[in-house]
Amino acid sequence: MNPSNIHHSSDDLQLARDLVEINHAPASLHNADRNGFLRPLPLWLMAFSMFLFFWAGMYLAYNSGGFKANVFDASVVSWSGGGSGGAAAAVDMKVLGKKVFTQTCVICHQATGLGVPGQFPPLVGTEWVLSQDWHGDNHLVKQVLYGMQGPITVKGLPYNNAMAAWSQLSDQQIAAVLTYVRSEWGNNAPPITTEFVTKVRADTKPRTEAWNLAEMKAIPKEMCSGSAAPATPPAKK
Amino acid sequence: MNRLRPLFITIALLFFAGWLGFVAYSYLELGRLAPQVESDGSLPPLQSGSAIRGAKVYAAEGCMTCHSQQVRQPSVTSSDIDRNWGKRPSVARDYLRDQVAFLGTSRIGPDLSNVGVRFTDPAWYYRHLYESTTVVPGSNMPAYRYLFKMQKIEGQPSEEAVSLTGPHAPKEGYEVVPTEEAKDLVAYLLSRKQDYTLPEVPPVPEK
Amino acid sequence: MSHESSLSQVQAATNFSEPAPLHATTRAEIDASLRFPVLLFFRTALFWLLFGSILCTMTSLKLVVPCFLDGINFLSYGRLLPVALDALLYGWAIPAGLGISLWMVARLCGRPLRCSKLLVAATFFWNTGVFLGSLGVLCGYGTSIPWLEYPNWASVPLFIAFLLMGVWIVLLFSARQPRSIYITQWYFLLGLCAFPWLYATANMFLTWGSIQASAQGPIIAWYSANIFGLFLIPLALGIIYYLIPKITGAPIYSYYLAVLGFFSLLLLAGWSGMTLFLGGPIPVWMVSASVVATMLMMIPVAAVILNYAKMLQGQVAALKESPALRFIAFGIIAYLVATLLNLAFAIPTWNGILHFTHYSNGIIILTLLGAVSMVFFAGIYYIAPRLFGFSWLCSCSIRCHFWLAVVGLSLMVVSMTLGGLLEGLALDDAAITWVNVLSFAAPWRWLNVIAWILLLLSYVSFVRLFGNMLFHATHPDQKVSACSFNSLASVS
Repeated sequence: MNPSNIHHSSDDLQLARDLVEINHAPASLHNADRNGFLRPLPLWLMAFSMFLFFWAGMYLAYNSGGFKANVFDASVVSWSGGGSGGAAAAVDMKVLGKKVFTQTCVICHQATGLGVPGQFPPLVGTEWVLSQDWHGDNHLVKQVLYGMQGPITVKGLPYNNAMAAWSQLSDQQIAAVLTYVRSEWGNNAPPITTEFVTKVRADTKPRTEAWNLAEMKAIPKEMCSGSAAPATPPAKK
Repeated sequence: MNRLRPLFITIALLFFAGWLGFVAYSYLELGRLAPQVESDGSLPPLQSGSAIRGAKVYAAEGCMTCHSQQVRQPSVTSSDIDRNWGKRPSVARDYLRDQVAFLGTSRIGPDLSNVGVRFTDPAWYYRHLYESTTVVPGSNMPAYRYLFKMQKIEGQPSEEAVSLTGPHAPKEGYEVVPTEEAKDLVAYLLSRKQDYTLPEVPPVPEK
Repeated sequence: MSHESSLSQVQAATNFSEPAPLHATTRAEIDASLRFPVLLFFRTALFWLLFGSILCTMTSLKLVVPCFLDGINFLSYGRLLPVALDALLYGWAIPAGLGISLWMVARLCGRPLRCSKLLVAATFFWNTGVFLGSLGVLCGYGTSIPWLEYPNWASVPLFIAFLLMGVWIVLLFSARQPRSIYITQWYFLLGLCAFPWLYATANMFLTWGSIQASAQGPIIAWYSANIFGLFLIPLALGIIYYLIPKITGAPIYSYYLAVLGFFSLLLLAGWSGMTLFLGGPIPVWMVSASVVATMLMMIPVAAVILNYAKMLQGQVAALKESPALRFIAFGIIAYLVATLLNLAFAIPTWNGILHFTHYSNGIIILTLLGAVSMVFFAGIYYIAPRLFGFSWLCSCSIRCHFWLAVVGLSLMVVSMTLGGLLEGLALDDAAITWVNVLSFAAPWRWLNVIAWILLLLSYVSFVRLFGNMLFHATHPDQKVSACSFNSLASVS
């Protein structure tokens, strides 16, 4: 049939191949490629596959957790050896504190400790953190434990927001994070001890709701270092 | 290969092998897990009706597209535990009380498997859902305003009203209160706690 | 007698080394019987392709500008994204793949289509399912199970539709004219058997909810890996095995490579999904089995790509003249890259960093829109002119479609893998706060928006071209019967 009776578009060459239907490979292929068609697999592929299967067996043997449904960790074999054991190493409070800070406090008070103006108060050089004026260490711990609500003044600026309660943190974590906050960004106040946090938590035992400013002011000032000592003036260097 | 039947049988058998290994095994071994019975109840703890309804809201809003709910093994990565997303890796039994395990495959937002441990105050969740930047500056979570009602204060302000200040505060005389859906969702989120131990979870050494 | 048997052996080998030849009148008969149903498949598929990629562009923009179309419940990110991805999978890829495989099976079996009403009904059911499912998710009835977000009632029409199509193909298979089965048919048989099994299992256990949540993880991973590995990828590989010999005239390079590639894929693909939850709450032996299977997937991929590469060797002229072949070449490259990215994802320590970032989404997009869709486009480019009865109207649209897709996909892969890597490294360092991790990811997410816009433009140009063809077909003076078209083909 005459091929010209098909509608051709302007750029046929672009599409020429797709319109032709090849039904037989060129005759020359029948001898050369037809034989090659049954050529053996390449040797490298066989060797590579063998290697992969060997590796697969080894990997499964070491990482299958004994094919048990209740093993979720590939390194479980080493667990049975008693773990790293030994006495717990002494915890560096500032390192732990930094960790707790980045996990819990940083979203509001920011990594710089400067907070967000008008929304979240700063922690740098403030009377709240450094326990100046009427603020004591006990106020600081109580505020972290149960949160704070309503209008307050920090470094002369008003804030009206809510701070979440963090009583779910351990006493050690709270002590660590406060120690960190009081020694970072130029702050220089004595550390808060775990025992002091435990004591404050016990004092306020049944409480769950957040504090407000008036309530806080009504509580007498208490300091962590030297139980009966009067307020140690914040060291300024 | 000229015959259809052997080809079909080979396909069926090899496919069946994978199906047995992953699907049937899961059904038989993980699908029949029982809660861990303790002297003061069973673990994982039962969920409230509100939390179970909240899971449906969680599914409908597609929270899973951005939030995962799994703490990975420390042998794979320690970052999940370092980020305080959980004190221990998650195991299959942690999902026993859920209708659907929203394990998640992407973290455009933080992991939520222990969000109920990290944040315990419902008011925080309401503010976060209404406008996330009021509690997390720089957050890119969309605002789920349609889970809240703006209503005129009549007499006493509602106790449930979301406390909002600044540009997102409602007009004078109006207040923003969560709908039932939002309350259920928050109940569900508050129930996201893997803070108990199960025998199959090896202890993670405190760093 | 002996002469006859040796002749039939040669014929069998010939039938395997390339698609069986057909007489021109048979071809015309087949094409005529398939014209309406196959074009219907393509038309609906292209609709969902556009729909899905528009929504994907919107969601990628919402990710960087959260306030874009904010606060409207049915346009929230969490509802749009599943609808978009499911539209691309169930709306576009599956019907397009089925349309192409129907045509190829009919051609390979040498039988025209009987009772096409069944197929039209199946298309109707299928698209009803996709439509109802999308609507359900948008209205807040989504399940949030990856790739199974449609509410469970929407899975019923989808499943019925697939069974109707499956029955039809099995009938064709058993009535086939050339007795030998070409490699394309192996892959089609695998894909078409795998889908109902996968879909029924996953829906029964997950959306109809008859299994405890503690056991859902492995099934989710199994389904979302195998819907590609055992269904769409085999369809694409089969289509490539059909088209390369038809376009270039080169027979299959090696029979044993083809056999090895097929059976090792069949053996391994089903075991390779659990890396999705590496380190997560599923038994570690499953994860390790999948790590191993993913590594071993190098064997089928190497075998099949070696075969294709040898068949394409020295075919520069054909690549220039055949758009279909160009799409295939890019599809093969995308398949290779996706496999390599998957390998890296399966290495446990690397996975610890890459997991949950854009990296894994990048692999999915590259597989769906690169490895699978580019081959399906090639199929449509090859088949549609035979059904319309005239050639594509404008090669410039084809070039537009191809290059925009190539650039868009490449940008997307770079932004998602490289951006995912940086995001993962930032995530891995617990000292970097969450909000700061966002700033690591943001520039790459912008790049992703650009990539989506390019892809969208590419698809628009293809849909426009296809639409022109449909419109064109209504002019009787330019309409040429498929018969004369086919006779032209056999002359050359």
